[in-house]
Amino acid sequence: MDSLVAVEKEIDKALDLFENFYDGVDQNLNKAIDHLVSIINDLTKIESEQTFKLSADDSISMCKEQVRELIKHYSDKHKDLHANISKIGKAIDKNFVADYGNMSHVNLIDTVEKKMHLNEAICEHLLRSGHLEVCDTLVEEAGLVKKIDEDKKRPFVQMNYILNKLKEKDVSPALEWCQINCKELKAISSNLEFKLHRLRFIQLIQQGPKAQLEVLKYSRNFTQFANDCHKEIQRLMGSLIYLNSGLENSPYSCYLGAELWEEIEEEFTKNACKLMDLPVECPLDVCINTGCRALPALVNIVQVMQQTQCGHILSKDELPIEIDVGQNYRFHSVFSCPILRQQTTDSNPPMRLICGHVISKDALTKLNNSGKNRIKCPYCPMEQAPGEAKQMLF
Amino acid sequence: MDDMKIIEHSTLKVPYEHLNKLYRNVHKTIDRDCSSINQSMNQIDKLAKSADLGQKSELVASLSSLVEKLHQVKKRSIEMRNQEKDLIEILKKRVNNLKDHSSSDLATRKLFFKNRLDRILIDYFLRNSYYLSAESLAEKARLKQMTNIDVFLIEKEICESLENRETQRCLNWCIENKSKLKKINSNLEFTLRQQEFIELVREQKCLEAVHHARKYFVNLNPDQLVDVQKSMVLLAYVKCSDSLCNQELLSDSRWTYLIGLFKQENYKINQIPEQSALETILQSGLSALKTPTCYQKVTAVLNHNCPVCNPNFNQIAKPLPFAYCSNSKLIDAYTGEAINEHNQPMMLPNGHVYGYNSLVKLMSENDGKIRCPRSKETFEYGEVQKVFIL
Repeated sequence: MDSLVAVEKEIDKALDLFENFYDGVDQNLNKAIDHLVSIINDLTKIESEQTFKLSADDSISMCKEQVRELIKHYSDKHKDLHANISKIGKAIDKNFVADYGNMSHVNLIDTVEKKMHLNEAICEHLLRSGHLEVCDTLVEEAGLVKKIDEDKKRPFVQMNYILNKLKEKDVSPALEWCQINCKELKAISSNLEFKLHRLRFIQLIQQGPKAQLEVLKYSRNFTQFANDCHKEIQRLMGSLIYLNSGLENSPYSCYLGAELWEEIEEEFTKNACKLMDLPVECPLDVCINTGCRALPALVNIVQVMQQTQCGHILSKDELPIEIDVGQNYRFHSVFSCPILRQQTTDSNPPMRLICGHVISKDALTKLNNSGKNRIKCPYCPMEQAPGEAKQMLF
Repeated sequence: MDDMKIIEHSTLKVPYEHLNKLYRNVHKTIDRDCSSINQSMNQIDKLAKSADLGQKSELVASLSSLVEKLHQVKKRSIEMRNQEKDLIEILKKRVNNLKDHSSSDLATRKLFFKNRLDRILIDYFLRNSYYLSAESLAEKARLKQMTNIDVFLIEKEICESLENRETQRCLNWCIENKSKLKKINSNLEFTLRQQEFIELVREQKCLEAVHHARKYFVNLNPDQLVDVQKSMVLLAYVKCSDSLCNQELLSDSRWTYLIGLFKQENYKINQIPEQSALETILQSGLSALKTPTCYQKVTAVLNHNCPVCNPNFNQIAKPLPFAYCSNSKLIDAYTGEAINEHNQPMMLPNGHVYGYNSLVKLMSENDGKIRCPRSKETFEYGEVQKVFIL
């Protein structure tokens, strides 16, 4: 934040100075023009030879001085302004990192195939954010016509339509969708439909006593959820007491918050993606968010490592530092062998010893170096044969 | 250091460079105007010193023309004032826009990140010549002022002319940016002249080619001299295009090389980084998310949400390093919950591991027996063994 403040300071300074400079120039020019015009007027009126010669000489020399001053001011002062402009540039260079701090090492997208994959990922992002025309233009320009066809687009188009309607507080398209996919939603034990009905119910209550009959009729929709959500239904029906006086000053005022609407959009997206076997959050978004989180730490490391000349961090097998991506972005288990401090892989899986402790297969082999048929667990006095260890699958 | 400092350098540097360029042009104009005013003034001075009544009208006429000149200078100065002011304002607007990155309001921050991704995409589109997509997205997201589309549109024109085998536009650009290209020791102008020479030889206009060489191949450094010698060979073997050296010089790939070189120099003098922001950020992100599980065949656990497992990114992330993990971080393969001291790991007889909470869930769904979600075998709770992860 202070980096921006520093740059802004220089910019404001420059703006001020430019303003003053040009105001001065304007003034000088106006003065010179006026002076010249008056000289012209005077000279035109003069008829006598003598006066003419004197007057001409006098006024022209005065004018010459003035014009000389003007030119000097114009050129020199503008030159001075350069210092302020370059100060802006220096502020930018000081407060920001140029060239991504030498992070760009690998040419990530080096084949036509990889470019196509990236473009496809970008198309998915565009579809999810509702930029359908941009996606179409990109498909044409990048030559993806075969890959992104109507079938791929349809689910996103539909999802965006329902989400837009939810943003306008209209739950009917969402409810329709729920009813069509009722069975699948039940399989993932989702209560999306109930929540949608709840929102509509609250909308109707807010219409006041005139909607009384409609509210009661609508509450019939809750019967199918009687078993799963009976507590919540009881609360909702209780709020009817405040039909006349409004919910704002009642214990049920929490129903009026905007969070319920934001929550329903998220819930709908989650359920829809689960049903269609799609990732909940756009993969491109996840990558970019993680990347932005990781960049500062990685740039720091690159700066340090440059002095030791070990090669670029992105050309190694593993990153040199740990990046905390947050619990939301942990998609796979990672087991790090406590002995060898390596991640386990297909060829080096985690093994559970009889005592319950877990080490990697390589570590197990190392423990068995002496050739005897008994190994002792590194963490407890339990002994066992190496073959008794069981491979684990996280 | 936060991510904004790393990503947004060129967002501010590019309009700054434009400002610099404009400033230089303005100063040239000012110098020109000043010297012309000086000239007129000196003329009038000379005239006045030796004038008599008869030359009154002449004197008055030159005075009036000086007044006219001053009016024009005034008009120009107002124009230049506005131009310089506009560019500084653009810089200020961008700085203000970037302030949203640290806004205390969550909604503003979210919108900033969304806009940032759109800007990054527009930059990627422009670098790959998807000009229509870039303009369309810039319009829809109302981001035109924050992007550097104008630089790329100029680049587009020159690249198109190079693709049509015309060198003039590019040469004009080189002349315009002569001082900056000299600072970075650019080879572009020389390479363009060399290509013109090759084209003349290709059309068998050998005499013209020699004239061309005499005119332009002067003040060469040792590397360029070697290139010139190679090109001169063409003159001798004009009809015989079999030799390897000639083929290389006559091939179309030289034009592709020229286009690439031009783009490279264009980015350098405009302070635009060579690699796109998208690729740089993707590298870091994919690397930080990459686990061995994403590339395994035996123990792979499908997680639709993992971007690295996504078929598109899986190929792209192959050459990148894995994320570093000092302590084990386990998640349940059935529910995605974290496995830790509150949700202890338990191993089924088939080797699969789940968290305690998942086992409870599985038992409630299957009459007290545990049905492994991956292998579909059923086990009793008694068969489950505890696992200790350190």
